[in-house]
Amino acid sequence: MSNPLVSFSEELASTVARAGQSVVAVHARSRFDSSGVHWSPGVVVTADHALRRDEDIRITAPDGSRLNAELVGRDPGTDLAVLRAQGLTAAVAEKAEKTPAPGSVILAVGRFKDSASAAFGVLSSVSGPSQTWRGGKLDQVVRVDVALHPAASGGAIVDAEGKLVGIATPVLSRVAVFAIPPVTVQRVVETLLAHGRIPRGYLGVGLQPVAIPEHLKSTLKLPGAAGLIVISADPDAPAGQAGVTIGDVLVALGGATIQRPEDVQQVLDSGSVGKKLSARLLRGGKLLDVDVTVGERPRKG
Amino acid sequence: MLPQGFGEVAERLRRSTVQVFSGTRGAQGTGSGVIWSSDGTVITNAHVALGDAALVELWDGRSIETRVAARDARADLAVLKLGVTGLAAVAWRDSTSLRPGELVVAVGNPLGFVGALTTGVVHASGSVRGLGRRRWVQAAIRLAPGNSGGPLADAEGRVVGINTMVVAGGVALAIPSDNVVDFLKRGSRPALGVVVRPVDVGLLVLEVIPNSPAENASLLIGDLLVSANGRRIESMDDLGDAIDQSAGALLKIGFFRGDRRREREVSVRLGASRAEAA
Repeated sequence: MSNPLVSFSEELASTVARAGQSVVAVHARSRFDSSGVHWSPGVVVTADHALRRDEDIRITAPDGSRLNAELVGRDPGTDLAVLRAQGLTAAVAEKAEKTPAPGSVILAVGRFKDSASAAFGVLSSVSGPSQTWRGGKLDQVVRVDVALHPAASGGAIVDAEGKLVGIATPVLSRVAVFAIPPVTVQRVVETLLAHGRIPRGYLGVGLQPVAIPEHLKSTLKLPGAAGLIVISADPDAPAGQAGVTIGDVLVALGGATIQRPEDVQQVLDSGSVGKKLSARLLRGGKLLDVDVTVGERPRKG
Repeated sequence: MLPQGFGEVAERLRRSTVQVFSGTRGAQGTGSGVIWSSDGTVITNAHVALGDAALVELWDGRSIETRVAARDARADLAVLKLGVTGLAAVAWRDSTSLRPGELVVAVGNPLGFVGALTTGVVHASGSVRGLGRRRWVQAAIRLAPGNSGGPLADAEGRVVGINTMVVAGGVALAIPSDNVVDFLKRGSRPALGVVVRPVDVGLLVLEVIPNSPAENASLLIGDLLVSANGRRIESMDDLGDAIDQSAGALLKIGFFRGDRRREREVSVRLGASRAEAA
C-alpha cells in the first residue's frame, strides 16, 4: 500500500515537470533572471518589470539550450512583455479552459538556472474585470497565495493538471501575486505582435469631477449626479477638433455614463483608437452631442 | 522638549474648542470651532458652517442650536453666536510675530476623535502659490478634515490661526488670527455664490450656490467668467476685489458660455450681508 503523501508529492513533481516543458528562463537583468512562458510557436510571454533591457535578451529553454530573443513589445499596464525566440522547440503552454475556484491548489512554475523552479499555493480569489493601478485592463483579477521567487516572475501559474491559469506577476498588487489570465495575455500578445505597443485612446482635454446641479439633473433626466468638467482643451487634439471647449461637462461617452475619470479611461482603453465616439456634453444648461474621433495618446519622450 | 505646563496649555485649548455640525440640502459640514469671546462668539470656517444654522457641541457635552451671525466665504470664516455666557474663551496672538520653527499645537475633532491634539512647527507665514495674494500661517503639523475651523495655537496656547486646509506635502494652512479680528470688525462681505477655478482664459464656474445672487442672475456651471465691471478677471483676487467694490450695487459680469466668439454679460445684484457661501 502506497503512502498517500508520497503519491501526492510525486503527482506534484510530475505536474511541475510537465508544465515546466513550456517555461523558459529569461536573462534580461543583472541580479535575478526571470521566467517566461512559451505562448505560441516562437513567442514567449514574460513579466515586463523584470526586463531591464530591450536588447541582448537571452533565454534558456527547458532542454538547457540558450537562444537569443528579440523584444516585440511591452505593456506595463498589465506587466506583460512579448519576446520572439526563433528556433525555440519547447512545448507550447496548454491553457486552462476555466479559472479554478478559490481554494484550488496551484503551482508557480519558473525556470532557475538549469532547473525548473516550483512553489506551491492556492488560488485565493477570482473577480471580474478591473483596471490595474498601472492602467492596464484585466479581464479577470486572479489572486494567488504563493511565495513567488523573483526568478519565477513571468513564469506560469498552473492548476493541478499542469494547465496554465495565468502569468505570474508580483507587481500589480502590494499584497498578492496576480496570475494574468490567458484571455488578457492573448489580447496583449495579439496587439503587441501587430503594433509593438498598446495604443491608448486620447481626447486631449483636462477633466475634473463636478456635481451636476439637481435641477439640471432632473429636467434633463441625467442618469448620474456627477460629470467631468473640461478645464483645458487642446484645440488641435481630438476633442478640441470636435468643438469641445472649456466649461463643457462630459456626462456620457460612447454610450457609457461618465461620472469619474476612471469611466473615461475605461472607454478609451477598450480598443477605442480611431473610433468615432459620441460625447454627450452639458453646455449652458442644455445637452449637446458631438462626435469625437479618438486619437492615440502621444508617447512620452 | 515640550515647555513646562504644556499639558495645561493643551487642556485649556481643548475647553475652548467646539464641534460644529451643519447641513442643508444634502451638503454637510462637520468640523471644529473656537470660542473667541466669553459672550458666546464662536469662530469657524465658512465651509464648516454651511447654510444658516449650525449645531455646536461644547467640550463638556452641552449642545447648542445656533445661527450663523456673519459669514465671509472668500475669507472662509463664519461667526456663530451661542447665546451662552461665561464660556472659556481663547487668548489670541498677532500671527505676524510668529517665527518659522516655533512650536504650534492644534486641537480639533479629526475623523471623529473629539479634542484630539497634534503638535508641529511653523513652516512659514505668507502667501501660497496658487492661492492668490492672501496670507496664511503655514505649519508642518498633521491635520485631518475635522480640524477645519479649529485653533492653531503657539506654545503658550495663544491662538495664531484657524486651521483651514491641507495642501500638497502635508502643509497645514491656517487663517491668520489678525484676519479673524478684521473679519469680526467688518462682518459679512457680499458673495457672488459661485465656486470657481482659474483656467487659461478666466475663472471657470464649477458650482453655483442655490438661492445666491449668481443663481438669481442665471449663471450656470461651466460658464467662463472673464470680466467684472468691464475689467478682465484673471484670478480669484480680481473677482474678490470687484465684488468688494460693488457691495450693495450691481456687478456686471462678462462670461463665455460654450461659444468663445460671443462674450455675454449679466448684471448681478449682490446682497448686502446675508449668509451665502463662496
